[in-house]
Amino acid sequence: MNNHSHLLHPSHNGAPVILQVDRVSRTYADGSVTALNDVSLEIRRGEYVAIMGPSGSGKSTLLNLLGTLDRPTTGELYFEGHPLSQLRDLDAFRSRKIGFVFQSFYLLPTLTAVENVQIPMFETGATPAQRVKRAYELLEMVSMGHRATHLPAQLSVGERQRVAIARALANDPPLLLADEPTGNLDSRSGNDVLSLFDELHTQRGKTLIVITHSQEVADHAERIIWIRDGGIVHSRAEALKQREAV
Amino acid sequence: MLTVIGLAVAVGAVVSLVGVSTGFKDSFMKIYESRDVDLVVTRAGGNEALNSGLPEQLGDPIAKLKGVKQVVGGLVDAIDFRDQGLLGVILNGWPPNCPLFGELKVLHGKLLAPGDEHKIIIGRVLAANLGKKVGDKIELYGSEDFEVIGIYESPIVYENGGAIVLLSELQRLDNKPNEISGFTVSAVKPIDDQSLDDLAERIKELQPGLKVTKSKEFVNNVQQIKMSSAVAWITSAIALIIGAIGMLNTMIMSVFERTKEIGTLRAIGWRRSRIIQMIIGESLLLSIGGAIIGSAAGVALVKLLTKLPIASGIVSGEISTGVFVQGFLVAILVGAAGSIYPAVWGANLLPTEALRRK
Repeated sequence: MNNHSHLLHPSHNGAPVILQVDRVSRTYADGSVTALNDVSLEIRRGEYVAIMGPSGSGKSTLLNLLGTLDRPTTGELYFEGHPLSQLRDLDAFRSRKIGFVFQSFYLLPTLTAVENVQIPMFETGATPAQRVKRAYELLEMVSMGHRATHLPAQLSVGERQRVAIARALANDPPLLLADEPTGNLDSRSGNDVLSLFDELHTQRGKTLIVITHSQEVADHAERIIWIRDGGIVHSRAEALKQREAV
Repeated sequence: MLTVIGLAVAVGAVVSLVGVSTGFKDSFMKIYESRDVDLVVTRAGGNEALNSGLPEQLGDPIAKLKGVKQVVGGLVDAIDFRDQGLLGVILNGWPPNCPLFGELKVLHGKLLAPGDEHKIIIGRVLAANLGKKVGDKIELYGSEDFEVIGIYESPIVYENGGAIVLLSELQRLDNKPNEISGFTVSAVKPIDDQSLDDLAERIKELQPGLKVTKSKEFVNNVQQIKMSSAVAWITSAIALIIGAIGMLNTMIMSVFERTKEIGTLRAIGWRRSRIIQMIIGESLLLSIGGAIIGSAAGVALVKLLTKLPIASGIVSGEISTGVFVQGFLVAILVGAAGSIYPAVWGANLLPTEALRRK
């Protein structure tokens, strides 16, 4: 197994591994298309990791596998040491352990902000009163409490992304996965979102994995993983070269 | 909206058609239930039970059998008043001492008496449909005028839309001397099923070629009632199939247009079962909405139709609770049937695939 521990931020060297990718490949179209090829990496609890790479490099495929939205063709993923392939109820696992933030927000258009935030909580058995209370708390945390009863169409793009972040935090998952979270935002809204991520990382101890094209976004992360042609760039020096070349 | 309307039409068809058909049968059954009729005696092998032809004199030996409380014989025919658009109006021929006269409430004029030749009494609905009052003439069989001497109200809806002459007059008009359509027999109560069957056997033994049927079975086997029920259900079934196809189309389109939404829900942890519940639940809501609208429309339609002269003397316009329950159950069945496939399809989409769709 390839060891990328030398790429870790020093502060997390002693932290337990929350996610481990062990020689994972993902192919499509009966093997004729290889999106990921023999990828291995470790993410420790509390890390803030950015995954960068050109279009078609396999970043989103990797994110989908990390988020159990897809299954690898070969290889195994481990969450807190447990192999994901042996999990019987991936939906419940995803609901409790992973929060997603998408580039296009994917808020349900007919539900208000506070209703959207409650959606993940349906699988936890929380009562309606508990759901509403927590939803309002989360919206306050992302500075959207005053817009709780607005529909997504009535919110700016930045506000929608903040609601989406609140939704991702609904079940207090230890891991947040974000796919180009500032891709559709203006610079001010993007900075607000990045500040939120920083706060979630430093003050709430969340493990963050962010897919991004943006160097500015990646600079907020403690570690950058470069992907190209379905594989991870190994050395720190090569990673620096890649960053300069983009 | 179109799906709800389609479903409403389907449910309305069930409520109105099945309701009318059931009402038709219930009204007919009421004739026998309200008069405590246990057995109906007709000629065996006849196709039209209402016109089977038995000798009038058979009534006496039947009445003398042990266990018989009352025997009523009469002749029945159906006549048309084409100018007024009335077809199949029931014309009863009762003997002057018929106990059924006692159930009629005289609204105008008087009842028939022995010797009343060329005299007729008509139900209030027929009087209204023909625009006749006491003293007016009605032409029967295109040849003979009968004077209206009374207008009555009967607890039986058919009789309100019909007319009554003396038995001898109808036998003369139909050229059926001493003949009647059948006898209704009321047994001494209490009586159990076995004793009733025994009584039926003893009546059969009085004369060859007799058919003795329990009143409920008799009503259920009346050709017109069987046809009415069959037509109602066949027509409703067609409407329901169309409604189900409409529902299936709507739900498939709905799921297809919401694949991103479904993908999001799956991505944030919703189980497949919850997605399926959501989609089927939405379909059931549409169904219930359609059922409410359809039931209301069906009731309104039946009420309207039964005010028409051609129908007012045949069906009462009342729809039983059972028919509404059937309509709602059918709507729920259609809603579920039309949404299961799209629900399962949507729930089994991979989140990544669903989110990738445009």
